[in-house]
This record gives sequence, structure tokens and C-alpha cells, in this order.
Amino acid sequence: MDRASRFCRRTFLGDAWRTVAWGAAGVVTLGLAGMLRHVVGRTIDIPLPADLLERAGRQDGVQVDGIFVRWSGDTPTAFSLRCTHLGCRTRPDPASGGFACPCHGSRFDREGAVIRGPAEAPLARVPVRLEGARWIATVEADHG
Amino acid sequence: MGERPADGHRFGALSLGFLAVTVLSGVALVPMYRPEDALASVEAIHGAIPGAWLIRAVHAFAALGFLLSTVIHLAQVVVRGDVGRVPAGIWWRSTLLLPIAVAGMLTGFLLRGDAEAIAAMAVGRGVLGSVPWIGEGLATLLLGPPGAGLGPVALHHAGTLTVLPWLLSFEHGRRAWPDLRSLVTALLASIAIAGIVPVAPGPAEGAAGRLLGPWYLLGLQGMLLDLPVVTAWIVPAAAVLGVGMLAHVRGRARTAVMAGLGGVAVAWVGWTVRLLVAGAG
Ligand code: FES
Repeated sequence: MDRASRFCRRTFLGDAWRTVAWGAAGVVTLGLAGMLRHVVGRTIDIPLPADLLERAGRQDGVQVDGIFVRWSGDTPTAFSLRCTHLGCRTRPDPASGGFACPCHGSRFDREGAVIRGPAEAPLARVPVRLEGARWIATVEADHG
Repeated sequence: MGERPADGHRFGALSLGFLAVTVLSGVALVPMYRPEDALASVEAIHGAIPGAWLIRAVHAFAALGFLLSTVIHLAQVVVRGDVGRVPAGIWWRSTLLLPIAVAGMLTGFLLRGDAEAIAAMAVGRGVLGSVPWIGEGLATLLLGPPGAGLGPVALHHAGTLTVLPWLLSFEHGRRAWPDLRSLVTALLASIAIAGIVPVAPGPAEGAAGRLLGPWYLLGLQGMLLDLPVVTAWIVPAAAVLGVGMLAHVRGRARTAVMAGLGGVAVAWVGWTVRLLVAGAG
């Protein structure tokens, strides 16, 4: 009995050390991977072609590279089409002017506000600036 | 090819046969696949390169065969009451074959690069990212940093998710290569199904309506219509833990764990139906 319990204890301690060692290796690996996320660029500049902006004015908005551009007054405004639930690309709905997500059915109005979940946050606004004669949109690397 | 397996281990041996067919057909696909131009290369496999579609279909169905035969083998061990005879560490590591096999199939789905695959990649990143503290690291480790394309996924698919199941199968069954009967059975079964069921990729842009993930994860997609994102990793993780715990529990506790696993399976089917009934976005 005594020998058996010593044996079990030794086995248990061996298992416990192995588990701790594997756990530590896992945490270090994940930590390094997480740091990589901060090393690679987090934002991208997307130049908006002039003809696209013209079309955006004529058609109540156009999409390019995962963003949706629409004129309001004399300035283009842009949304990320990335659904705020889990990141699928939403689709503009020409009938309502809003956006629908094909993954779990979230819906957003034309201002990007949530009409129906599971998404809880509105579509992200994408900053747009004029550089010389070109409009440039700055988006997150995983914008959609 | 080594000795023939005992009858009680027929499905265990068959799973190694399916794994070998998966790996060999995967090796044959390597020169034809380009992660930086994924969809075009998969379309070429299904059109421009003669016979390549069959290799890809065999690859996909052999992977499914690996998962199914592993499930059946583990279930047989449980039903026969043999779990207690397997050392607990080996049982736990064998249990890991289940998520690893699913990860192999899922990464294969992502590598198609079509609209459904791109959406599944986004959802996968979101689900992994919802794991507290380690989520961002986990997502980056498994899928690469955002905007990295399919390169990291392709590496895991061909490397990590090939080496790990082989190591675990080897530890479990003490053989690195399947017996001839299992290999031929796995190959013929994969070819037969590949000839019947198409596996071509979808379009680059999804048509109107819902984009669907791989069929074995539709339950998870349906779950996300109603439940918080964290349930998408808690429920599968709990199921894997439940299977692992079978090595430690007896009597009523085992019955309770089995009932829990059955409940997850039923709920999974229910969520699949829920998703399909919910229809277009
Ligand atoms: S990702 Fe859009 S609703 Fe889930």
C-alpha cells in the first residue's frame, strides 16, 4: 500500500511537472504570437480612385476593398464593411441603403447602426482625408 | 507493413490508414496549390489540371474518414469499458486527436479561399480572439496576423496538423505506418466517395443569402445566432474535456459525462437545423 501510494505520488508529480512545462511552453508561444500581432502593421491606407468617388455620388455609395464610400455634402464618408459581431464582410442592401451580414444575420442601417443582432456595435467609420488631389481611407489591417 | 491489428482495434488501424491517405494525397496537391492565389489554384485543380480534382476529393474524404474512424474507435473503447486499461495520459492525448482532426479539416476548408472560406476565417479569428487573455495570441498563432493571407494556415495544415496526429497515433497504436488492409480500405473508400460527392470551391463573392461554414461546424454557426461568442469555444472545449474525463470517472459520474456529451451532440444538430431554417441573412 505504502509503495503503491509512493508510486502514485511519483507518477502524479511527474505528470504535474510535465503539464506545467507544457503549459509554460504554450504560454510563451502564445505570448510571442500575440506580440507579432503588434509588430505587423495595424492600419492600411487605401487610395480612393476618383472615378469610384464619382460613381459613389451617382449610385448612393460604392464598395472598395472592404469599405463602403458614400458622399455626404462635398466630403466622402466611409464605413468598414467588417461586421462587428465576428468580422464577416457585410453586404450593402440597395433597397434599404443599409447593410446585412451573411454569416449570422446581423443588420445595420444606412448610418451603420445595428438594427438586428447578434452584432452589438455599429459598423466602424473609416477616416478619409484629402492628400493633394486624392482621397485616402485609413483602415484596420483586418477591416474586412 | 507490420502485423495485422487485433479485431478490437480495427477502427484504430483504419484511422491510421485514412491518415496515411490524407497525407499522401496532400503531398500530391502541394505543387498545385498557391496560398497567395488560393481560389484560382483550387479552381485550376478542379479544371485545368487533369485528374487533380480526384486527388483533392480523396484528400478531403480521407480526412473525414480519419475523423470518423477515430471517433468510432474511441467510442468502442468507451462502450467496451476499456478506458480504464488505457493509461490516462495516452487517453487524454488520443482525445486530442478529435480537435486536431477537425482543425485539419477546417484549415483545409479555409484554404479554398472562396467567399465561404474567407467568412469562416473571419469567424474563426473572432471566436479564438474571444478566449480571455490568450485569445489574440492564439488567433495569431493559428491563423497568422490579420492581413497575412493564407500562408500561416497552409503551413499549419501541411505541417502542424500532419505531424501532431501522426505522433499521437504512433504513441497510441505503437505503429507509424498502417497495415496493408487498412491502407487499401481507406484508399478505396476515399476514392469511392470522391467519385460521388463533389468538393469544388464556391464563388469568390458569395451569392445572395447566408454564407455557410463547413457542414460539421454548422451547429457552431447556428449557436452563434443566439448565444454569446464565447460559447463557440466553451462548448467544443467542454466536449473534448468530457471525453478526456472518461478516463477518470466511473459509475454515475461516467453516466453523467456521457449524458452531457449526448446533450451537446443533440444541441449541435438542433443548432444546425436552426441555422438552415433561419435561411438568408
Ligand atoms: S459575423 Fe456578422 S453576424 Fe456574425
